[in-house]
Amino acid sequence: MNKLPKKKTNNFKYFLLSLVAPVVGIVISALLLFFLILLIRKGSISDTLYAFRVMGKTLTSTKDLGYIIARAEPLAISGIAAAIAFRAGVFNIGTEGQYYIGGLVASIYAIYFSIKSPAFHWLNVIFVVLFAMLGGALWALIPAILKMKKGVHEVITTIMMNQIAYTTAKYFVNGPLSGVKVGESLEPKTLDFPPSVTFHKLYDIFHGHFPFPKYIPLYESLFIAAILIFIVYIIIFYTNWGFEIEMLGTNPNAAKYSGVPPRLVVFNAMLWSGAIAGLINLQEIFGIKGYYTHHMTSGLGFDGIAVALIGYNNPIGVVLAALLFGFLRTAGYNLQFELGIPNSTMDLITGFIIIVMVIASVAMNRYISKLRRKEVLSGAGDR
Amino acid sequence: MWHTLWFILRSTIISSAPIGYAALGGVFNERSGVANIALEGILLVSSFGYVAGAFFGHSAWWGLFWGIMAGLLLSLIHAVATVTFKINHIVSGVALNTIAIGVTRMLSLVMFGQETQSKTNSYTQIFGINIQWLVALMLFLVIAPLSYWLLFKTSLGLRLRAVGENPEAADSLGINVEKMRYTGILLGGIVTSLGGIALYPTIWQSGISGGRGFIGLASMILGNWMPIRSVLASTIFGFADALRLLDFVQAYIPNEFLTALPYVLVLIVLAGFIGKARPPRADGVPYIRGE
Amino acid sequence: MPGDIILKMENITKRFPGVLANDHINFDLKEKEVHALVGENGAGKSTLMKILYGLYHPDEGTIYIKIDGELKPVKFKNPQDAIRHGIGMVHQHFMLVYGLTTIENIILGYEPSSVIDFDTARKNIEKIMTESGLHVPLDVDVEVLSVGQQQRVEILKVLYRNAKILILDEPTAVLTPQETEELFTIINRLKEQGHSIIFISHKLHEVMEIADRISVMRKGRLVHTMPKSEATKEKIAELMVGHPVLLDVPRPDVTPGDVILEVKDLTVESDTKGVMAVNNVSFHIKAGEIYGIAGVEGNGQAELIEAIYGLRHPKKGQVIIKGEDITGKPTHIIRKKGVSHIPGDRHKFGVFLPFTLADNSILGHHREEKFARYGIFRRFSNISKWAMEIIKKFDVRTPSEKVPMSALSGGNQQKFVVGREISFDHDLMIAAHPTRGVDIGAMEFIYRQLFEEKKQNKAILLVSADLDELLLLSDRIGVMFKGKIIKELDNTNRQVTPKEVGYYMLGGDLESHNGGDTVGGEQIA
Repeated sequence: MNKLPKKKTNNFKYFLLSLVAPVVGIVISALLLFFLILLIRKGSISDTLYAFRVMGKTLTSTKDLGYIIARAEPLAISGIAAAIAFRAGVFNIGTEGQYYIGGLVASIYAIYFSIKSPAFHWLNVIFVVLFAMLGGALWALIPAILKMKKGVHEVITTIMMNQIAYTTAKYFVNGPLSGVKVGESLEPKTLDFPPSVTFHKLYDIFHGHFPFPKYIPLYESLFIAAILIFIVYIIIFYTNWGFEIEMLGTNPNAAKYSGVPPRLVVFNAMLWSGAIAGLINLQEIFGIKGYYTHHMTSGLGFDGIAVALIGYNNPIGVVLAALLFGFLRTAGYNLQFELGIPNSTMDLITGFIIIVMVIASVAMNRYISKLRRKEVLSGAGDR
Repeated sequence: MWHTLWFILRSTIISSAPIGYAALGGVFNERSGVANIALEGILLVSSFGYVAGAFFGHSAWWGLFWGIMAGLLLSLIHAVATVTFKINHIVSGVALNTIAIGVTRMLSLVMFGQETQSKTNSYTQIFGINIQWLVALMLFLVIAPLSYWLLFKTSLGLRLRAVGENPEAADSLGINVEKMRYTGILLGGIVTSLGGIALYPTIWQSGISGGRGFIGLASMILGNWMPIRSVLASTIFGFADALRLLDFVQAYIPNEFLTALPYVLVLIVLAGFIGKARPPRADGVPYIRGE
Repeated sequence: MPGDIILKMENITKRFPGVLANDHINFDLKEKEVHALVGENGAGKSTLMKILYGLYHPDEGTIYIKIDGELKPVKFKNPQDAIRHGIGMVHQHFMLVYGLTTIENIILGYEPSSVIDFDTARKNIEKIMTESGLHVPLDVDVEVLSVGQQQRVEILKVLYRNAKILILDEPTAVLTPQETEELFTIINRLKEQGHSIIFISHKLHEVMEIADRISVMRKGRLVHTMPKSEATKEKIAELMVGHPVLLDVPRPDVTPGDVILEVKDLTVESDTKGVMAVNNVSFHIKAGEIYGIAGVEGNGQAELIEAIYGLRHPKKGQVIIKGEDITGKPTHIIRKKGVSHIPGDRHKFGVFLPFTLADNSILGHHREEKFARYGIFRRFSNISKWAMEIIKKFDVRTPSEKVPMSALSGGNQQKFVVGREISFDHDLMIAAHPTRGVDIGAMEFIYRQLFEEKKQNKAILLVSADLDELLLLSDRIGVMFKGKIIKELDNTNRQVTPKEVGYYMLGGDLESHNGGDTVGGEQIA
């Protein structure tokens, strides 16, 4: 957990060693993927090699790169949300439910309270962000209170809240917010958001200023994600808020003795984690769809947990891990399209990457601390 | 009247079974000191294992065998990752749940031709009794009491509990901590697999486990990590499920409300009675010798 | 009378990365003998005993055990092998499983059958209890037993496994002098019944009282074995450290100044609701004074410190520092008011092992402007400078301030913590077990630092389980029993004796002092 930027330059060797685990994870998982495809394509090596070429192509096509980033965006936000809690030693498994509610609250704003004049689009965006954060924090509030006041373990309460979140979203979409008119499609959804609220495509923003391909599926929400990640990075590594969160996650007793109120920091970390989680799926709701439904992409919360863990709870690591996941998914679609290899193969691979990388990093960390100890013992005195 | 009551009782038992089995599986895992949120994934793969095994083996017995094998295999990965390699238990659980989704969908496509569901399996009888009903009844009549006996009356159970409370002390008495935790995880895996089999032996669908593994964990906590109490706690959820199926209930109460009710109930119970619930002391903590 | 040799360890060698823990050690044990093994922390006693108990495997050397009348070489793969050969160990930190009952703890790992026959087990245990005089309730969670009772359970565990050879690892560390007497009675009784005992300790007077033979270890070597008749305390001490010890650090002569800390009628609730861990405690400490708190652990010392330091809300009473009432204020405010604290358990409370020394150097003061702009944005260069000052001033051995704390040895970690707490501006120093787990060299260093504090006119509250340390350092000693300071002793001229303190540690006039069982019972129940 020693990844202060200052330390990296001082300990370049250790930084390099910490990269071993991800590399090992990717290599082993690629091997596994090789054999899986071989199995599915009934032993045809040429098909398998072609499959890998298809995956390679994913990295060179502008359109695919756009999709990789689009898919990585919610995962990165989700990873950041999870990472904040993890750093404080709290397992917020509830990001899943928090983004359902965050999106719901923001949608209520969009439908009923938003400013209809396009001139105030930016103000609407800010309010959408604030209300989404409010909704997410609200959903994290009950587990946070129960943990702080009663010591109830957050894993179990957040799991309960996840179940309730989905039902709540369903209730609102089918009931009070229902926007399905008679004779229209059967998919349950709310009313469409006013155009002054929905997120613009990056193409529409950049068009005329510099060449930006129209087919790239990215929206304004990318800026939100980028700003968020930058702010969290600063907080974690350069402020006492981050320092205190890390103190708590490392050794709550010592934190207490250092005058850091453990329950308050945990409470705050949980709420902020929830608030950020509220933003996870804004891209889909306000960019792609333009209305709210409980039938949106699910599982982004759990995926974010994996992203956070693979990224060592470090914002930069989280972004890289999210991009890796985005790549796997995009490549997965291409494989299905070109070779009929089931997309779910990529879920399998994703799970394996998590386990292998974490095992490798546990082993590496042990090796690194042994190495460090040796270095200090042998070098003691001659400074 | 009697007909309705019998219907409620029967559907309560059937709906409770997967949750109750998962709760028992959780008890075995956590009593040995291993947190396991992959119970959800185990339900999913064992459910698939049963349908595929019975479908292709033309016998419910093959279904049972493959259902349990599938759950065991996933548990084994959890054991290797958390006990042998000592990684964070929740991390392994998250990864295994992802793997479970991926592997079942992939196999479903390969074996049944579509990703989201299997073909209909007609081998659902053992000794002329519907296997879902049989396995569900077994939970209350056999497996739950047996688990209690195993945990509290045998040396294996004593050692298992000791390892979950204080692995260092158990180690000092010559008890093999890793072996005990493997035992806890694998026993828990077998039990949870029975829950997957009781889920819906006729057809497998992607997402069929529907969070029941997590609800099992909640039941386990409500039951204070005691086998029989955990199984009884699972009937709260089963009962709510059963109620939902009744026409007159559907007419008066919004469906979503009944769905959410048991979860809300758990939160209320957790908020009020946590003083009594005490997890095993070494729950979820990897044991590293000699520090 | 000791009989034939029943255990022999020959040429035992054990290496750990960077350390030679055991260097060709020869050790033996006779029938019906108490063989004391003494040495400082880190001398290799524990390693040797863990090898004997099968927890470690020696790199070289052989263990011989008397089987059927003759010594035969044996190899222990694990503790079960050792137990099978009649060896039992009572660990310094009890190896009891809370959450299980006494009877379950005793039979654990040595159950009579795979389906447990609790009736037979109970009969066997009751027989052993009668023979040895070790009585404990069998059907309660061991967690509720007192420390003395838990130790009895540990010994019962070993006897239940038919151990002939008992290893007692610092068994008196947690006991009062009176409880120690009781333990010695039991040891003598076990000896008569044919058991042999290896007694590990660094309390020399105890060793002189109970041992038949004494072996001294130093830096991984067994330097000398002698019968008690040839041993004196001075000789053992000299063998232990390799040079004559002068732990008699001279006490500076300071006239006490103003009252710095005043505690008035303080009452603090324990973790168990309704039970008062600290009950109506009042005392004060003046500038330049060291006030020691003695007591069996668990009699409210920890809670008293936590209440003064702002980690626990007192039920009643006041804590006043330099005339200002700080009762119930949070820790970071109390630190700002001039309170420093060396916590009892360094790893648990004092440091963050994965953090760098720099990050560890500002704990509790990290929000000060010096270390963070506006209290928020951290000033890394100032923090590094500060850490370097501590490292230089307190002679912490480390290549730089940027290595993680975990890379340092225990003694250096403790020096760093002591240095950090001394370096912050303060008037009151709360030192809890400041020398726990450090070697004699570091111990002496820390004593000198505390006296230096005294010279600087700081008020010092010292809590320690080490009576010698308390008697050496304190001007006054308050003895805590069941949450109360039942006696305050004047030690200005070092006139207090251990026996006197021990008497009050067990309740003094308040209780008849033959009932060690009840000590601490109130807090735990």
